[in-house]
Amino acid sequence: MNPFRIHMIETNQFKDMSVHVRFATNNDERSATMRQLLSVMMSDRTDDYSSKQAMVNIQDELFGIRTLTRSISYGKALMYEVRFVFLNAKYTKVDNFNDEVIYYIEQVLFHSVFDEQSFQEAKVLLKAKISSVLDYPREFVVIEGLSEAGKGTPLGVPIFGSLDILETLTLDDVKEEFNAMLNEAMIDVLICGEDTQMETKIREMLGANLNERPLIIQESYYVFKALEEDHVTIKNKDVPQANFLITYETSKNLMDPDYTALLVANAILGQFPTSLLFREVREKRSLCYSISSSMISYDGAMIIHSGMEAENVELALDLIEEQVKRIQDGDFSDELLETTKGMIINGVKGNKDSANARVNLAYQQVLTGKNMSIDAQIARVERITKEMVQESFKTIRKVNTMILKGGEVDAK
Amino acid sequence: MQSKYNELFDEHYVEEVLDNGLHVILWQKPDYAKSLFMMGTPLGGMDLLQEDENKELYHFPAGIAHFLEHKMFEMPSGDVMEDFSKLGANVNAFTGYQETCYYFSTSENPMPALNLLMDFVQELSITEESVEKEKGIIIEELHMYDAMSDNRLLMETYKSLFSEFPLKYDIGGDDASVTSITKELLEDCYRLNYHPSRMVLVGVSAIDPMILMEEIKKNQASKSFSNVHHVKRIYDKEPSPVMRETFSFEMDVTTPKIAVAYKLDGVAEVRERQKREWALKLLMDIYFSALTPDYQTWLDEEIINDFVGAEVDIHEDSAYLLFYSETKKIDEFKEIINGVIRSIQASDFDESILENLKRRYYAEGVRSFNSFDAIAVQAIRSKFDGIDLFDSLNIIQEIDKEYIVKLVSELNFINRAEVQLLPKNTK
Repeated sequence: MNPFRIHMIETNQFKDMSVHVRFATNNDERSATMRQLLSVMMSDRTDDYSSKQAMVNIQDELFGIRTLTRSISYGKALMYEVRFVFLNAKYTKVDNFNDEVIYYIEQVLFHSVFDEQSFQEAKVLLKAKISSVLDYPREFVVIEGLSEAGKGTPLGVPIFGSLDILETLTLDDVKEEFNAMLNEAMIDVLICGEDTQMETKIREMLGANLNERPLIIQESYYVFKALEEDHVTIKNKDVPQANFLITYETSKNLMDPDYTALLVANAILGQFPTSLLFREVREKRSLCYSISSSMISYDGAMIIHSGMEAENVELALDLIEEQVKRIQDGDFSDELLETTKGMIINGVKGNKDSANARVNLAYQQVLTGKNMSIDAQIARVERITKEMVQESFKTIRKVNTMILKGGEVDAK
Repeated sequence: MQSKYNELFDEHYVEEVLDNGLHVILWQKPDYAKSLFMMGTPLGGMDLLQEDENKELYHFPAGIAHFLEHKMFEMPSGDVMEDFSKLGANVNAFTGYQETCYYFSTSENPMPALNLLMDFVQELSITEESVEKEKGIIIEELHMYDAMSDNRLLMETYKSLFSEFPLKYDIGGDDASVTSITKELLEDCYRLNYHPSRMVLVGVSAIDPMILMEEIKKNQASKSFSNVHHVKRIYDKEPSPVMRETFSFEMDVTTPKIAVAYKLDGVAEVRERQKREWALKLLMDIYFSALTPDYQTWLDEEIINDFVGAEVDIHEDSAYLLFYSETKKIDEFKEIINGVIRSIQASDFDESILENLKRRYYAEGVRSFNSFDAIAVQAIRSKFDGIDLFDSLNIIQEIDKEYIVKLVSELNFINRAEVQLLPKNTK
């Protein structure tokens, strides 16, 4: 029995093909840390391409085949992806180009070098990367804010994992984790492009390398409930501009019947230039350049982020509360509702033109069983009324405000 | 209407210069749901001093092009972003060093939004009050970028390299220059730079280009424009020596960052300029990336990490080569760069590596046509540079080792600037 599923998205729209190999497991700090290490190690060297130089050489020979690794959390699921993007064979004029690509993919997936040198290097690089990312104020408040708000829940698992856990890991831990991932993860391969024979070739290659076992289904969506009461956390760095992140429980994940209404409500609040936050905080009062609200749909959470002069933060927070209440009270025009729905539908229709968007929609359908066809999505948005928007926002609850501003610097 | 097809990239477009001088380029992309239209002017962050055909000079504060970009969205009826949204179109704009572009994308019928794009870009309607209000927003934007250490490192490197060349100014200006901008300056800048004959309109859509061209012509025929000013960007000649050989500054970061840059001579002719830029980029790939076995040594010794790279930029009047990294081992990194420069000067590389790199960049060129944004930006920049887009993408194929060796023999790496970004309280 094959432990994987293949999803072929056939299209001749694009000049390249992409193969997305996705492993989904439980979302926890240790797994997140391990995936980050694997991310560095798996794209580094393989048995046949045993140096960085050899790897880059073969990638260039294959017309710059791109190998990208990343982790994304989908609620209770942590999805680790190895993605390959390569030119359509017809542009290469190389016989059996796709066979050479398959060989390369097999090398990366199943013959990556896991030795002490690559492990120690990956640790050093990952530590540097985490420190560096946290130097950026926006990234700092988002990572720290979600960690604080989501303590003890999947929402609070930092996507980069934990520096403390990283210090304790050994090469054997990583090898064990890699094997466990192959044998226990939910494995989905999404292929987007014009050559449908790739599906057969990928299937054969995976079948030859993975042990037969039942297909595993990984749980993903849940409803986030903060473990602490609403509170404000202030952090200090020597920065020219304050940044803040507000996290809310919404009590609705993407499977909730009222989810689309919430999606529209969030867009009215802070997704487009017509949104309440953009108008009231930026355009009317010039308090900031960027302010937006976003849904974290597999967890049932919402976040609002902005950056501005520290002395304006309090005013901005008050204005944000006012806009949230306006939506709850229905204090927004029908025109704004219809314009917002139109913009969402515009985005949905445009997804057809992006390989990544099509892959992500297909994967959403895998995780949820929800019909993610363009027509189905549009129909869900079109039926949303003002009353539905109001109702959807009544269950949201602020759980944390993380503020980063200048001042005496916190001990690291 | 001229039609151009390129077999290598399998791409086709049509173009026409309208009676009012507007250059229109249209790509038909069947099978796509969305359309994107972009309108650009060659006014950018480097345009601080312009001269017209009568030798009259116009001085502008740093950030004027970017400020104007912000204000263009103001119409008598209100914010034009709202109008685009009502049409189901996403509108945006950007200002580069040498251009400002306004664009929208939509999956609906693009005709109303296309007319709106032309209408709002071809009219400036601002008040003193709105100009003052915008200053606050722009200053917050600048502060947002100031918090980004890689952006700060690059800007300080430009300031170290150049005394006259306007790359030394941030595209958005700074607090003081933004505060100094007036309604009159914006109107002057607009009048000089937004005449249709200076502009390019690019459309990428499934719709028949003939139908689109008719719509564009109808829109343009209904308007009249004041006389065109043939302005050009001017600046004082950039001296060969760098402005500051060494400079350091502090930010609240964990690990130091360093940039080492070499000032080079500019190249007047655009095709040769682009060819040289490619050649230097290839050399940096060969000697300062994972293609060199030394790269593994640099990693093993923790002299570099994932934040490492190089770039080259050649203009008519000046050029630079830049290497950067995040590292605690500053002296060791400087030694690496010295070694890389020596390797570049020797250029004793295996030609098979060159051929492989050409494959990489050819593929990048092909794949760029998946992106409507990339098509539009490439088309506009090529037009402003006066070079054919397909030719520009394919110049790299002409480069061989002989060309590179000859090029390198003409370069000198004497004029060097070094900038260090240090964690707070290091000094």
